[in-house]
Formats: sequence, C-alpha cells, structure tokens
Amino acid sequence: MPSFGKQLLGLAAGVSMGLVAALLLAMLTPAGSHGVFHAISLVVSKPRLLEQTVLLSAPIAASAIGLVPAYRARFITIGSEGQVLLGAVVALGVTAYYWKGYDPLLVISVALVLAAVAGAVLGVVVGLLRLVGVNEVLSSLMLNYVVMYLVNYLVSGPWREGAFTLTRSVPNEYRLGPATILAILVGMALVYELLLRRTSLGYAIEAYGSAPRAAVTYGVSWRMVVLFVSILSGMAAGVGGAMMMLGFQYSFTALSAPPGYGYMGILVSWISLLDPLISVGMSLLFAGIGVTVRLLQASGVSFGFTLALQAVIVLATTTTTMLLARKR
Amino acid sequence: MEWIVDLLARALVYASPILVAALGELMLERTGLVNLGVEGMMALGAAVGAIIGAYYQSPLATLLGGGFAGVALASLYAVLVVKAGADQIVVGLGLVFLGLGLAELVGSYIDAPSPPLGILWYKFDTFQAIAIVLALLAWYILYKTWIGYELRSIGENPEAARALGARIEMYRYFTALIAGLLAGMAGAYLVTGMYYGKWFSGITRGLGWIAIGMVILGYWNPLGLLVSTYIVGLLFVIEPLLAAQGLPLVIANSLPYIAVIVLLALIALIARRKGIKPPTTIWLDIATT
Repeated sequence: MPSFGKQLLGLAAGVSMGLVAALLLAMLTPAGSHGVFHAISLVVSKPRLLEQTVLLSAPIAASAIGLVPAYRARFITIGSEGQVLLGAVVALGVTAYYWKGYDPLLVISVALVLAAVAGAVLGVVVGLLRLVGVNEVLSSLMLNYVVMYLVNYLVSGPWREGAFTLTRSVPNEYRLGPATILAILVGMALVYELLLRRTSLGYAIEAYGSAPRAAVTYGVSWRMVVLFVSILSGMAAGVGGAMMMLGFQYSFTALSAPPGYGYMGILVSWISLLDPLISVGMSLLFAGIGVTVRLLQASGVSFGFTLALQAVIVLATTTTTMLLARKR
Repeated sequence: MEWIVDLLARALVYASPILVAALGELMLERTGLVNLGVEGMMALGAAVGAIIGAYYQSPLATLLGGGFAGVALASLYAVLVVKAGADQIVVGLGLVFLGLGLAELVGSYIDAPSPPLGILWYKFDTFQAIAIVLALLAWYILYKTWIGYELRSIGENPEAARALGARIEMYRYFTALIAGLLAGMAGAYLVTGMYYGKWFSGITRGLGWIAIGMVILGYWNPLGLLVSTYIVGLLFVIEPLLAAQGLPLVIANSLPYIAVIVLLALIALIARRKGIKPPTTIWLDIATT
C-alpha cells in the first residue's frame, strides 16, 4: 500500500489527466468544442448553476460515503443505485402523499429517517444474501432493477396524477436548499470518518479488508462486518435518495433505465481513496460534470453521457495511482 | 400447443445474447480473472452496431460493428488489468459506466433503424444457431483440447500453471478480447435481432450483469451455461404473459431479476452442502469462510 501522500498525488494527476480526456471526449458530442467551453464557463460562474451542482451532488456523495466502509471491507455492492431510488420513493411518499400538511421540520426529518431505514433494509438484503453465498455484485445489481420497476409501477398505478405517467410533486415547504444539503453531507462524512477511525467496528472493517484470513483468525466476525457494511451503505444511499427527491427531483416519471446517481457514487467512492470527506469534494466535481452535460442536453447530448466522462476520470486515476505505487 | 412451441422458441431470443456474452466471460474467468464490464461492452456494442448496421444496411455489419466496439473496451481492460495489474473490480466497473455513457453519445447520432436479422429456419435466426454452436465449441475446447487444459489449470492454480510453463498473460489477453468481441456482438444482436433493428437508451436492461450471473449459475461450464441461460430466457418471455394474466407489473417485470438471485442462492447452498469448490480462483472468497 503506497503512502497517503503518494495516493493523493496520484489522485490529483489522474483527475487532471482524466479531465483533459473527458474534455476531448465531450468535444465529440453534437455540442462541439464551442458548446462545451461555453457550458463549462456558465457552470463555474453562474450562482444558480453552482447551487444546482451542490444539489445534484447529494445522491452521489451520500452513496459514495456509504460505500466507503463496504469497499474497505472488500464488499463490492453496487446496490446504491436502487437504494437511492428507494430513498427517493419513500421521501416522495412521506412529503407528497402520506404526511402532507404537518410541520416542515418534522416531515423532512421523518422523510430522511424513513429513507435511511428503507435503504438499510434493501442493503441488508444484499448482506444476508452474501452470507448465504450469493455474490453481492450481482444480487445488488438485480435489486436495482427491481426498485426501478417499483418506481414505474407507482408512477403508472397508485401514485399517478392526471393523464400522464407522473406523480405528485414535493410541496414547496418540504424542499431542501443547497446549504442544508451541504451541511447534511459534511455531517454524514464526518460521522462515517469517525466510525472508521475511532470505533471497534471501524477497526474490524479495516482488518478484514486488508487481511481477511488473518482478521478471521484473530476473532473478527466476518458475518458482522458484512451485515454492518451492507446496512451502512444502504442507509447513506437512502438518505441520498431523499435529498435527491427533496432537493431537485421533486417528482417521478417512468424510468427506462436507472438514473445513475448511485452508480456515480460508486465511481466517486473508488477514486476518493475510500475516504468519506474526499468523496464529498469529488462528488461536487462529478455533479459539476453532470450539470454541464445537462446544459448540453439542448444540443442533443443525453444525460447518460455524464457517466462516460466520469468513468474516463476514474480509469485515468486508477492508472496514475497504480503507476505511482509501483515506482519506488 | 402452438403457443407453447412459440414460447419455447422465443425464449432463445433472450437466451442467445446472454449466452454469447456469458461464454466470453466464462473463458476469461477460467483464466482466473473477471471483467465486470460486460454490461458496458454490450451497451456500446448495441449502439455502435446500430449505427454501422444502419449505414451499411446489413445485419452482419451490425453484429461486426458491435463486436468491434466490445473489443475496443476489452482492450482497455486487457492493458490496464492484464498488462499493468490494475484492480480488476475498479476497471470492470469503470468499463460498465464508460460503455453505458459512450452508448448514449453514439446513440444520439443514430438517425435510421438498421435492418433486422432474417429467419434461418422455422423461427430461429442465424445468431441463435451460432450461440448454440459456440457453446458446444467452447465446451469442446475447454475439456477436449490441450489449450482448454492449460486454460483451466491457469484458473485453478495460476502459480502451478506458471511453473509448468503455461503462458498465463497470453491466455488472459486473448480471452479478455474474445469476451469483449462476444459481449459486443451480443449487444448488437439486441438491436438487430431482439428489437428488429431499433436502438433505444437503456436497451441492455441489465442483461450484461445477468450474463455474469449465468456464468456462476452454469458453474463455469459451457453446457451448464446453455441450460441456465435458456431458463432465464424463458423467464423473460413469460414476463409479459404473466402481466397479461393480471399479475402486477412490478412483480412480472422484476421476475427474471429476482429469479436470478434465488437461483444463485440455491446453487451456492447446493455447492456448499456438497463441498464443491468453483473451478477457478475468482470469486473464491465467497465460497470460503
């Protein structure tokens, strides 16, 4: 394992190289180089777009923070996508359907807590399946699709409003602004950081992740580690989903493919050296890319393209950190 | 009776792309590596295949274009993982999202449908025939030839294989690229075979991931894969029928995905009870402890 400083250097080098590659890739879109540079200059200068960047970072950062303990323990769940969606479903249900009319602080708190619970439940299913012997990469991915079909069912059935496949919207008084969202994210990152560094659970995760067999020999319970990290990842992603619903999504329409915020969280978690606070920063960068692509949508670039740009950055970073680790 | 035959035949429409993609992944996993990027290679294969097929107005061009796109992504995997030794999980996941994202970009340039694949015999098309032949061929190579023997030994015990002089890197490069070719072609088949020449965003709907699951379910054996992919193909085909019978859409649509989880749990339990170890070092940490 290379030193933390060396890893940071690798990260910086990788991100800059990746950004250049992503920029070149973006110029291939129908928007062209002019469109891309124009969009970037807008995103970094307009306060409204900066606010949007913070809002968009919420589901990305929350899932990334949640995945840190899981990935440190080599539990490769990719269920954050479905957990984000489920958290968003719960938040929409609470604010627009079942708890409407109560005090905003109460309703928003209930929405966040229930979303966390829902995410945790979905997460622990993956953990339990792993204990039975089902690979977590696959089970979590399958569950993402199940949640997506749940959304489509709600949109076209019980929660449908009017003639279109569209749900009710989150009422104005229950919506979250960028300042609140940033505060929640930093708070979450600190809690997870403390959990990893200062608790026996954190030590167990660390021990299991770096030397599974030795850890088990020394009495670390593999089952407990798997269950805890699966719950921790689900909880955070669920909260992220609630923030997405109350922060910028506000309603659901039918989905043809998963929207991708949980997936972006996976990428962020890996390139952030599995560190919660770095994850928040990286999520802002990734959300910025997302907002830029949204601006390009007018010229025919689909939002899904964001994932390609982010993946380029991740692959570049993986390469540079690896190369730096090898050179002595 | 007619409708049962029709159902059994149509299951191959779903089963064959999953089978073809899974066969490549199976060969790669037999060398002790895993590429989680199948979904991305399929997605990019579908989009690139659609655009090339539309240009040349030929389903063969669609399949070849898709295969080419798959190889392009797989060569990234080969360089980063086999050559440079990067973390195969991170690179695989990176490829998924790179593929999905690039597919969206390529897809935005598609302005015409590509021609659908014709029927070869009865209700079967060429791709389905190729899929079955490929599975038999893969089985033959793996279990009846020296190449297959070396390949299997690499997956089971890389150090021992190296000591015996097997060219591990060469096998890994080769199978990684083959896996890309097959996944890309499987993706292109979704366009030219499954959806009659049409491409749309999210066309792969997780089939690449299901292919990875099928490798485990078929227990790393091409013949096992033939059976497991056909079962999942059937599930995809009966899904709309069940919905028409009044089963809530959320359950009908989710059925194949939930079935894969249940089947994986079953096979894991059986393997554990009988004390069977997977024939490759990959995923091994799941079987232990």
